[in-house]
Amino acid sequence: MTNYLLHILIVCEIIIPFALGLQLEIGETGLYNFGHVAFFGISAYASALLTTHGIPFMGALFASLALAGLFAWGVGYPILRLRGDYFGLAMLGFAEIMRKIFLNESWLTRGPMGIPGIPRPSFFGVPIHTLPRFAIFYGLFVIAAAFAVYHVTRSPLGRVFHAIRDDEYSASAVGKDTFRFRRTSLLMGTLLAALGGVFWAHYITFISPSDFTLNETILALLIVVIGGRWGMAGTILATFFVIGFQEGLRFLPLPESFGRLIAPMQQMFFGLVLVLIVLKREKSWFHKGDRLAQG
Amino acid sequence: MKKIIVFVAIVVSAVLFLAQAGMSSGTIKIGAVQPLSGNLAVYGQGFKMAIDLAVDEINANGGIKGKKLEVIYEDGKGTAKDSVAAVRKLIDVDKVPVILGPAASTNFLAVAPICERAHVVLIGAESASPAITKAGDYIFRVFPSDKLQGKGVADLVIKLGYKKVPVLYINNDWGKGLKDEFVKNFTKKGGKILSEIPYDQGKTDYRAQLLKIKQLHPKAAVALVYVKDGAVIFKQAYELGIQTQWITGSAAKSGKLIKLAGKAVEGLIGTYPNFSTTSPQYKHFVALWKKKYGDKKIGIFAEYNYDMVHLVAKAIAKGGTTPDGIRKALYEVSKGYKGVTGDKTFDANGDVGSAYGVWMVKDGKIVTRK
Repeated sequence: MTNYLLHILIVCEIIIPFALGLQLEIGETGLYNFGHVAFFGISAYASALLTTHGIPFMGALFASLALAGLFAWGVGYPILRLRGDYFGLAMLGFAEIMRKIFLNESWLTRGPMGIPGIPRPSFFGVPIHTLPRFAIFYGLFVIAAAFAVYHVTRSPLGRVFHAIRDDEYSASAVGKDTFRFRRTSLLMGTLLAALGGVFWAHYITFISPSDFTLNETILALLIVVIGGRWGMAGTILATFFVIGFQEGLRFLPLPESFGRLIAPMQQMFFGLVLVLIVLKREKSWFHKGDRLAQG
Repeated sequence: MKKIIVFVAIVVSAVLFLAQAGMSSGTIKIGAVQPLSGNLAVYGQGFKMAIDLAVDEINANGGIKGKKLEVIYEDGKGTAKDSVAAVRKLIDVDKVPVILGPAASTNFLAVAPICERAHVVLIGAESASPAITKAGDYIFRVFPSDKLQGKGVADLVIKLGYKKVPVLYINNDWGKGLKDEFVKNFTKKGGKILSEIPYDQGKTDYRAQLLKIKQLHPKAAVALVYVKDGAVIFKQAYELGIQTQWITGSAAKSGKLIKLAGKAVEGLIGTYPNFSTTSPQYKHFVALWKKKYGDKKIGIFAEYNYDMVHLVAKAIAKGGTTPDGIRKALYEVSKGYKGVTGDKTFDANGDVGSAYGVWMVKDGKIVTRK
């Protein structure tokens, strides 16, 4: 039982940076990034390919983060000029393009066959191969990431993000280069997603294009919408809630014929939560109102 | 607040009570991870029906040494993430010695390292990826590896009477693995390979490769292709006026190939893994299925799932309920075992052999060739 609980904890530690990245983009800056999973995938593939070709884990980790950041920089340049929903749609398209690349460039990614045998991480000679070690190792990174996000959101930079989220025109009227700040937000969110991607690849030790679909973005979106109102702590708690809820269903003594309805029901339940929250709060959901003038 | 506490207490005690009630000691529990929901759910339900069919049959005949066999199903949702979680749960919470593995090679390969490290037997009935062969000592499958087709194709070419052929193959690990096996088996049987020509997937022009074949003027040529690239290749070969008997594997066996390539693939011959539908085992299986499920169509790979459960049950009867006992016993009980899908003898890698049938394109349709 302990191992299973540790597994759930580790999955949460993988999803938390991923969700925190989206929290930073949507919750703090108002960038509706529906292609968040692309960067998760890019870094997972980069790290998997580098380590299977003999690069040590820590080197591969930083190289993968850098690569994902470069991609964000590159696609951000044209796409960040789009506003609101259009930005979201363009990012959605980007994520789909990346998935197609993972699927079709099989000389590099082995296509639908995926990459098996990804080495487990090691930290300056200490092998991370047992579940407790994974939980501690990933946990340290998650704490560091959370610490960074906490400070960003309370810094002057974070206040500009909030200003852009609440009223971009006002923000630019007081002389803020909103394009640059939006790009900074996208970059930060991307690095967090990329961290999750690397964790994912090295924990599961096998990746294939089907791991990086829109479903993962929706999972993060759900977490952010449920918990984002309460900032970073809310997002982290919401991750535990959503993952725990999904896994908890396995233990409900439901009749067998009901079993196949669980997953669709779960999706419907989460969908309902999303719709209700958005309906009730509309745009003000992430807007806390106490930091800036009401508007 | 008080109400909430009372409510939570009731729910918790109800769950505990029911969980307790579910635990009976007279059964042997094994695990199964199948896509019971999600994209692959259509298949998952069929696999489950086939597994249940075999389990019911075993239990009706007295179970395993008087104990009933019970399968704990977990939903893998057709994704790597959920398959891994499901396998973790089966290993750590239910402590099953053997898991009937998830469908789709990608999910199977994601859970294989976990089972291997935990020393729990993982056995699959629908994963064909050659990578599974080397997945570990505790990993088995009753479905033939794609690699085996190499031998199937070699046998077919010899049977058709061709001694010298060039081989054109898709340059990935499927194509290369298949080509290597084909060349090995073909030369062993006295055939001669005129040329080995790899090509890259997803191009729109394969004339360079095809011209090489044209210069050789072979009576027959082997093309290990998928559907889309196969269509391009056969079309361009037709346009280049290459007069040869094309022979292929099962990956291109699809109506879509004919739709895309039209008369260019008329007369194409290929192999595919099959099993006898006249054997007593198969008739027994069909009768059982009809009895339990009536007129419901037999699902894809149902026969493989059925064989898998019977093999596992035999291994448990012989080797006990420990994973190591089952692993050793699986080799012994499978030796010469004739299931619905033919001979299920495991080789050292936990793979099985297969018989191969022959298909061809005739009058724009795929037909079985005797």
